[in-house]
Amino acid sequence: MSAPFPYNAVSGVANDLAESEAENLVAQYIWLARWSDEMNKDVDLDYKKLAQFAFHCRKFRFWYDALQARIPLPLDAIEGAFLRRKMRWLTRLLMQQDLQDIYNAAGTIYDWIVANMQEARNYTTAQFDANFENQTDVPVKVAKPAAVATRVQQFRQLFN
Amino acid sequence: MALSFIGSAENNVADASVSTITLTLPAGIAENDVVYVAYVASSNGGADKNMAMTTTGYSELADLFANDADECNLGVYRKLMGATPDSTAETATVATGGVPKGAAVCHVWRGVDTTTPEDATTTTATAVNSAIPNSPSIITVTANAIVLSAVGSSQFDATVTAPAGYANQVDITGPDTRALAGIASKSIASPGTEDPAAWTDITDAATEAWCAATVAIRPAAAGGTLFVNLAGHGGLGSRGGLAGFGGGLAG
Repeated sequence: MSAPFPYNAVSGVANDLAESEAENLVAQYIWLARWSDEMNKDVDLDYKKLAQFAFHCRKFRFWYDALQARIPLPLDAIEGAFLRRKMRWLTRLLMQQDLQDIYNAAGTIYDWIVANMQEARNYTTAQFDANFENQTDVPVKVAKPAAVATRVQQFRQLFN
Repeated sequence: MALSFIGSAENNVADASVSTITLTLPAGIAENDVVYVAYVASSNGGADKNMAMTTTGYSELADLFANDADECNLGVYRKLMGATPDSTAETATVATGGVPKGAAVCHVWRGVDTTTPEDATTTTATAVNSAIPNSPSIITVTANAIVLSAVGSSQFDATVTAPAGYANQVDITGPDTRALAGIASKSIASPGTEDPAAWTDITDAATEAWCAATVAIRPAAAGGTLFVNLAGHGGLGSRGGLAGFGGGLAG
């Protein structure tokens, strides 16, 4: 029997790029889960949460695309990044299917927010870059539109 | 209230004069948590760059510069999270002057004194002819404060080690060539002088420069203390209750 030898165990060897991308993917995944959960529960619509949610939708797709561009797909790195946060699928295929579903839904809802929730941009900073990246700290809450509530609820249902 | 470490983040960019660095904060972050960012830009342009954050609400604790063949610029920032916490922290671009490589890291802490987050004025140090940062000493005044060694170096090095006794190390180097940012923390049970040692396992060179800051985080007071001044009033009954007596809620 031989124990696994970490591929980056040698001092001076930088982490694999795919591993870094997978870490970023998981970071976006976690924020998508949190903001969709909170916005789904909130009575009002918090523009800051909406804007940050849109940002993480965009970044999730960015890192997913980066990983998908790698041949072969670095499933070890992706699965490992989730396992480090105690998130585990029964099979890798199920993980891939769920991530693809989230990727698709993130694209759909991001496009919808950009097209239909422009007012959220009024509460961003002067350096706002059209990607909902820089937010004011002034809390702005409005009545939650039904269209937002429905879409957020549907997105939330992608997670347990 | 004891200080607790919530998490960290790191990221880099190939050219900090055209690209900002976005740190995706730990998703467990909540209101009144405090984010500390160390942001490094390093080129061979020899320019003292104005370090800043794009995300609003950050207070600058230090903006340092050390100039050698490779320069080091380090900015250290702090932000108290509001009711809807930030999910990202974004640095600002810096002036050109060579092609500045960018690296940024952050720590998130809970249980910080929200009125006075730092337990002492942040201390700083810089040096040239060396790539090995060494945070200066700081004097804490509150029990169980946390001391952060926040460092930057012009050196490109992906495997570095925080000083002995320091935990929660987070570090990242630039995508190539230059820039190293790191933060690590140590709990100081008894107030007094803490002098972090130098970081280690960094490839040294006489062409490099470094900057370092030492930040002391003050823990929030542990609950409130009810005090009632009854002296000279002859007991509770004679004045019809506690109203009007010298009293209050501290902490």
